[in-house]
Amino acid sequence: MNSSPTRLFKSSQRIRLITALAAMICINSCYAQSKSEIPSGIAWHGVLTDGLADAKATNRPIMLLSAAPQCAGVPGMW
Amino acid sequence: MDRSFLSNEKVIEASRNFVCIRLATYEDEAEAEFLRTVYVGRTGDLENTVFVLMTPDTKENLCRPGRSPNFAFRSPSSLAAEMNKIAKDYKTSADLTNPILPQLKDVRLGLNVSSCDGLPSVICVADENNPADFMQNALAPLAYSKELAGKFVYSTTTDASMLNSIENYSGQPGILLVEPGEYGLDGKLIKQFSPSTKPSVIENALIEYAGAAAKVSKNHSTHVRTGMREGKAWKTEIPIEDRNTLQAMQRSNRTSGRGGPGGRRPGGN
Repeated sequence: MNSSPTRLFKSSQRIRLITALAAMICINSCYAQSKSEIPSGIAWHGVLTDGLADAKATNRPIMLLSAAPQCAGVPGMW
Repeated sequence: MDRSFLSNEKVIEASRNFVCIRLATYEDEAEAEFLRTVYVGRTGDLENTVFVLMTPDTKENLCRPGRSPNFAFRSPSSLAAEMNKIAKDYKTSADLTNPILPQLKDVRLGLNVSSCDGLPSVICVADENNPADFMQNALAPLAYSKELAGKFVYSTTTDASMLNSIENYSGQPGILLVEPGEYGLDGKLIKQFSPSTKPSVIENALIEYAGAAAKVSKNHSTHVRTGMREGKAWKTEIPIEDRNTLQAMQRSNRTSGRGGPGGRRPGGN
């Protein structure tokens, strides 16, 4: 089937537009994957007396945890 | 430490209605005494890890104490559900707008815990003209804010020489944002605020940093093996009692040729 030059031009423009959109989506997706953020966590009192004073002042129950900040004598690991 | 429970979103959300205390085992004699009243293993020794929910006056346990949350709870969801249920029984009686900064007892421990958590450190360096409580009061509301809770590890010192291992730090008082080294024995200064910096300025900077940084995760066995090979040693403040830990350390020390587990006494080295 023969196509007119105008139709061919419009078709090639459409292809270019679709390609550009796909590229933009891909770049955005890659950026989103590489962007990092420290997640929210628990605000821990690290001193018993501070934590107990806070619990007494605010009448909130306590979640108590203790862990050793070393593994086999090597620091930097719980 | 059981990260699957404590990094769970529901547990983190439930923790906002609790006072959360995480002690460093074997790093304080008085705290160790308290922990022994909460939970000891079958041998009667203070174990490496302890977990419990308690009333605000600590007179009553609100769950079965044990080495970790999974002694009493099947899943993070069940822990969160129980915490939410417990919280309903308590009406907070005091003003929550004047919180106490959640911090470690000193910068040595603060930097180590910061490295353990894979989180940046915020350190108040005070002197006689720049009191610690002024800086701590500025930081405390930020430490519990929705945007920043649990994202930084805080500590304070009045002795700037304790921070000699911090790269780029000049020794001036102020509030330091520090990226801890792999073993928490050193670190790198990222930013320093003067002691009188407005809390809003610090807040914006911390939010920006937390938004661009990542929590550092480490491989447990690689970290320990490499640390031993490189002589990265930590001396606890009081002797380690946990027999499983002691046996593991003796096995490791035999293979690495290092000395015994020891434990330093306060004031000693």
